[in-house]
Amino acid sequence: MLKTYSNQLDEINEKIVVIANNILEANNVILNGLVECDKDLLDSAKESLKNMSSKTTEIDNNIIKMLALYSPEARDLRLVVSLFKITNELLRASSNTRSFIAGLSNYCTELDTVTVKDFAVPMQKSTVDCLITVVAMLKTTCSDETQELFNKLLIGESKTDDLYELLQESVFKQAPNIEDFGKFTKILSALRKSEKIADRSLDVGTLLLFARVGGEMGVRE
Amino acid sequence: MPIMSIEDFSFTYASAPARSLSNINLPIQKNCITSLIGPSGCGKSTLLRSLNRMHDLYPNNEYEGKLMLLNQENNEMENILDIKRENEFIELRQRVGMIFQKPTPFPMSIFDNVAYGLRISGIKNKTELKDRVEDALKGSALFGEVSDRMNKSAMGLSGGQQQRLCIARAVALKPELLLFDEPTSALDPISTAAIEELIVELKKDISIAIVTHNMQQASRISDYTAFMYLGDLVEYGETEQIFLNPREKKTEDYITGRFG
Repeated sequence: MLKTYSNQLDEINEKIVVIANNILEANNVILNGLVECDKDLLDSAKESLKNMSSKTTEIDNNIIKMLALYSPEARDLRLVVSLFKITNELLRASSNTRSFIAGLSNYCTELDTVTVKDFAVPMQKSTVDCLITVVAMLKTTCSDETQELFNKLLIGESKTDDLYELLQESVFKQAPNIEDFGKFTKILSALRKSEKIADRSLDVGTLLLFARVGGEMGVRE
Repeated sequence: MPIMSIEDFSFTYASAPARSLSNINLPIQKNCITSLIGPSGCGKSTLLRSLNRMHDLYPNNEYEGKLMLLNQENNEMENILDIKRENEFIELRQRVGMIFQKPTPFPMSIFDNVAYGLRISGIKNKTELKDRVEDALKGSALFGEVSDRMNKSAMGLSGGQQQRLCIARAVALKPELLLFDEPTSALDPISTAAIEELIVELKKDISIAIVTHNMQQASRISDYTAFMYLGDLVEYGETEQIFLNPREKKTEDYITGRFG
């Protein structure tokens, strides 16, 4: 592999790690905002998500140049194609994080403690764990470690799904006693974004599994 | 800044009824790699061989236009088509070296292969010869593989090693411009990768022009690419632009494999 090619590939990977870390950072702030029920803290999470679209577009253009100039093959091809799709997944995760902040910001002081403590906080904690795993997956080149981290990611994403279902059930059980049910559906919809972020994390993990381990794209082993 | 500027250059072989190259205008940028691509018979090797007047080895070939080579001592461009004397040709070919498709080691030791050009250029001092040979072999990423058999025949080296030896032989003369005529088409992928890596390293000190049929090779290693067709220069630009957004339809059709 030419040094110029491997340097460019490393550069792209580093930029993607930075973006993933930004999303992780934002979600960590959201987690603290939920624990504290602090609107300002929640809103401040947006800081880490600035210029995501232009950052991912820049990476996509670099990847297109790399495909045009270096014609990668085998694992190189899998990695480059995966990174190209990963930028899109990260952009969606970033967009979900923004929607999460926007949806929750107005209601965070009104969330009842049961909803927050029993479901929303653990769910967001699990989402943050998924993002931590994704960052670790982006940093490793070892296929065994990738597989191991992916298995951890599967468990984390499944946990987030379960917690969201429990949260939904809990809210619906309380529905007859809730005056402003519309407000609660909005809160539910906002909290759903946390589960979506975990989904996006799993998508990134699946792409990295394809890149590092092989097989077919999108098939989880 | 170009190390060489090809200006309104045309070339006609003595044996051919028509021009093989017509009105070529092309810069060869300093410390960059310029690839010449195009289908067989388009004139890319003819152009490359004009750049150090290789065609003069046969009589009655006809050059027109200018081939301006930068004199790095006074920073002035000199037309190499004005060269007439034998010693000027020798000097030109030291300044503008050439590597061919098939490795051409001389039937002598590895050391003597690299020292050959140096001796011709007047270097007789043994210590200086040894240092220059070692430097050239190191610069060509071959020294580590041959340091313990410098006096063995170069014919015993593998194809890839022989090609790197030829590069060392050219590099030893400290050329300003190195011309590569399909340098890897006879080599396996590993040797090809080693030569490509070497060419990219060499450009720090030497400007490079390379003829290749391998599109991927051109895109991987070159900074600028020129596409030629039927003796004309169709398009020249930064490699990224040529391979991503060619201006000419003919260029796009060629690099996407639609003709040629």
